[in-house]
Amino acid sequence: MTDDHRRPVAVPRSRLLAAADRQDPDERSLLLEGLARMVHPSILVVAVYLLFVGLHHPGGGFAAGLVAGLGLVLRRLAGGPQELATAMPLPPGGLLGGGLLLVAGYAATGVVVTGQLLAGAVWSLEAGFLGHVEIPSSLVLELGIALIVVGLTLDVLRTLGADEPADEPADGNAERTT
Amino acid sequence: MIALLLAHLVLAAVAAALSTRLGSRALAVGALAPAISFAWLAAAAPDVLAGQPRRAAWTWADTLGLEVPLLLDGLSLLLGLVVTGVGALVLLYGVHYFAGREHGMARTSAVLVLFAGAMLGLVLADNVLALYVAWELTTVCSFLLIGDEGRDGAHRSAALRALLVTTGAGFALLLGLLLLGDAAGTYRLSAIVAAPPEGAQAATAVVLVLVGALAKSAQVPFHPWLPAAMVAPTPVSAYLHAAAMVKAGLYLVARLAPAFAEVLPWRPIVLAVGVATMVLGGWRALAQTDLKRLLAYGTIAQLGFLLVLLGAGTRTAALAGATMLLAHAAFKATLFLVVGIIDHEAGTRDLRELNGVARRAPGLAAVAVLACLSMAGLPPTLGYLGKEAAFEAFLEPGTGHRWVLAGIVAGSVLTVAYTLRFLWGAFADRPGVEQRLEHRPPPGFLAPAAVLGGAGLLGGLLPPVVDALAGGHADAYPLEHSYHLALWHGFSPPLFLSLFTLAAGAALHLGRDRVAAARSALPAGPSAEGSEDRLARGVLAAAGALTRRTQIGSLPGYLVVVLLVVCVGPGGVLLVQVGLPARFRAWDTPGQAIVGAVVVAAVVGVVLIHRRITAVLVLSAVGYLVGLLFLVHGDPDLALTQVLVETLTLLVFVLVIRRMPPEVRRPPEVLRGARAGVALLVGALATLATLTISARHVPSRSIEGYFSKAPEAGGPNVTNVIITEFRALDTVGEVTVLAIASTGVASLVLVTSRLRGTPRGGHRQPAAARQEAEQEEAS
Repeated sequence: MTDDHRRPVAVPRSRLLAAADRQDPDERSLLLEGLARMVHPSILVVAVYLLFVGLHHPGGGFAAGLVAGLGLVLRRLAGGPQELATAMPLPPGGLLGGGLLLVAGYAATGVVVTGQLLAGAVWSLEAGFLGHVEIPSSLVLELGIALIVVGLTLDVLRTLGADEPADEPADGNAERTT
Repeated sequence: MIALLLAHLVLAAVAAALSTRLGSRALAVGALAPAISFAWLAAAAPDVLAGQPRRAAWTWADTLGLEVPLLLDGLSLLLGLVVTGVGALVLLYGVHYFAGREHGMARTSAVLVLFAGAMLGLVLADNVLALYVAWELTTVCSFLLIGDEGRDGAHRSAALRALLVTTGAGFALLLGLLLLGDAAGTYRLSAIVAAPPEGAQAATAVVLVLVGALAKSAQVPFHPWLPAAMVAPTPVSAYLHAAAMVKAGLYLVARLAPAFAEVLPWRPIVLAVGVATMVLGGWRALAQTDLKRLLAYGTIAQLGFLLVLLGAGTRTAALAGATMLLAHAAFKATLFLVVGIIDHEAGTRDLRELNGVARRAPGLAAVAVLACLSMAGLPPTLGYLGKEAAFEAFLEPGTGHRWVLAGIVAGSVLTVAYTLRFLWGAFADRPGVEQRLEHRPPPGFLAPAAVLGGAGLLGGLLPPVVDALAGGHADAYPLEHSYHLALWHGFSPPLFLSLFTLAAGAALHLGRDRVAAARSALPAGPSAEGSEDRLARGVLAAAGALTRRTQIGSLPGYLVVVLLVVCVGPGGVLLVQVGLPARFRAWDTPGQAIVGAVVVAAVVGVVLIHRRITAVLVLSAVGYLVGLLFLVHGDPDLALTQVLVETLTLLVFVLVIRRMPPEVRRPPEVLRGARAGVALLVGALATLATLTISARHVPSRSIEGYFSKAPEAGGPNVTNVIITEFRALDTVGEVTVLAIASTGVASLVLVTSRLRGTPRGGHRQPAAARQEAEQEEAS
């Protein structure tokens, strides 16, 4: 960099995101980083809520996975590839495999316990101040689905979202929107 | 019998596990499996030969009626004894041969034992499909053993050649067996042979089966894979490519010959191919300087001889064939083991570099001479018994028998000549050549070869025993000529033919310089190896050309093809079988109408906008509006999912589009018109499908229970209960597809970006890819 005396104006000095300062200063955005810092925890809470509420209200594993995945997209856009790796240290294959394992395990457990593939059950209990709680066994299935969807998002972000290799001359008319 | 097969499986694993600690001695543990099987077969032999075959069956899918029946009759017994007996001895021999080898011992020992089990299963199987499975298992074992660890090109190409030829023909075999089973109405081998089907289908099936069998047994024109396979370690060559696997094809021929020898193309094919193979193999063997290749061509010749005998379809020929099969397994395995010892101890098996082997290792020479006596057909050996019977079989009257007799006499002359060449090559003194053999081979190394060589002599001294064993197969034929094996039949024509072959063979060997001169004067004929290679290259070139024609590298081109197929296929069915809906409502509420109008406007906008990023944003507006439509219609679940998926899709779009030129290039007018036509067609189809599907107002029967059962199955949200409970299996399938698609797309992107930068949508790439492919082809 030839003119390193010139500091970009809107670069936050404090570390809002874990690894956001490892990207090119010209590409950083205070607004996005601040937003991601504030919103991402809430996004995860919403995802968990959607996961649990599925059988009674709109939601479920697919929606939960999509919301959690969008949270990762936000972190990626705000903080760059390093930030994405910090936000989700697991490889996409691990998430996909873990999700498939949960789904298959759920299916097999039904066979072992009741002799029927994918058999479900609902346990209800009185949990003090939480009131009446119903726990369906299909939560395991939903969690598996959610993991697979997050894995899918992560796969997309790490491949299509990868930056151009530095040693390759970029096309003159290539456009950067991030 | 099932326990025997399982024992091979278990001991293969045990041998592999022990090989890290015991090294090659693990093979001795593996040898237990064939040894036990041999003992069991020998114990069962008296019953079986007395006409009481043993049966067993393993049922593995009762409801489908799928079972693997096993049958031990005379022919299975014969082959079973060969496979297990030679197998046990070769594995013991391997203990010395592989001593000191560190890499891949687990693999080699496991595959060798596994092969013994597959081969035993092949000869015992009484169901043609089970036979086919065992057949291909032996092919796979052969591929793995020839290729060894695949360290150099010679191993890999030899393994590939053997695999391509035998599995390619194995496919014909499968087809033939299926046709045969279909024509006979049963897939039980014994039932097919007992009541053979007739007609054109049976004849076609027989020809296809013969193709598979001939390729497996290295008959002309499929033979080149066998000499190439000699790069394998010697125990493998001795066992797979001399004694056992190459006999699989002959086993099938012998099995079917009593039933199908009279079917028209059988006899001409079998006799012509067999005689041609015998003569060609013998002729080629005379030109070899590598002792192992000499034996390999000798094996080809003997396999041709056996094919003639076992396929001829008369009792005497079958008796001769069964005897020769025993004899060949014993003497050829012995000779391979001898060559292995020479190679192992002297470091070469080229006859021009060997000197004084006989004086340094007289025991080795004695064993080899013993085996060679049997190979040349001298009394009192098994080979002599078999050859006398073979001449007798074709001295009996029959169509074409005189020609076949002439052929096998010529082949036998060549056999005598290459037997002498082998002995001369391995053991003769060559003044001026360095003596490489430094000490005698250890007795344990030589013992298996000595046992096998001795078996050939012992069999020759006990003709009644061999007659009973071979008769177990020959009795499948009607008793026309009651010929029996014996060392002395009086001054009969076969004796004179034998004397003639010995004299002529010896003359051929003594005049070897003149034979070599005559060979080089002959014009080079067509080579089977060359045409195989040309065929392989031709297939590759054709595939490449087809790919270049169809994979034009244009995304719009692919899309047009895919969409047209959708329109013509499912669209056509929809139009013909369901037709247009009779009546429909345009909308239920004004809200729907308004959202719908905005959707239509946005769609028109997408088509007109030329800036990619704007077009994508407008396109996702369409998606969000459709989500809104779902909400207005009363399904918040669907709306939520739609909105979330749309968001993700938009982001993916943006990630891809940032690498593409900002403006859409205008295609030529002709293309634009065609694409517009296809687009309109697809739009019409989608509209028609939507109208037809939503025109159904009767609730479907399957969902009636969903609403009433949903609360007890988990909760009141029916959509989600369907996903996780009622249709959970569908969900499992869907998420599995999702995971696979995700991994696949990610891998594709990673591969392309690693090869030549990230995809940019430029038009330079097909040419670059073609260049790369051509470079690969050239190298």
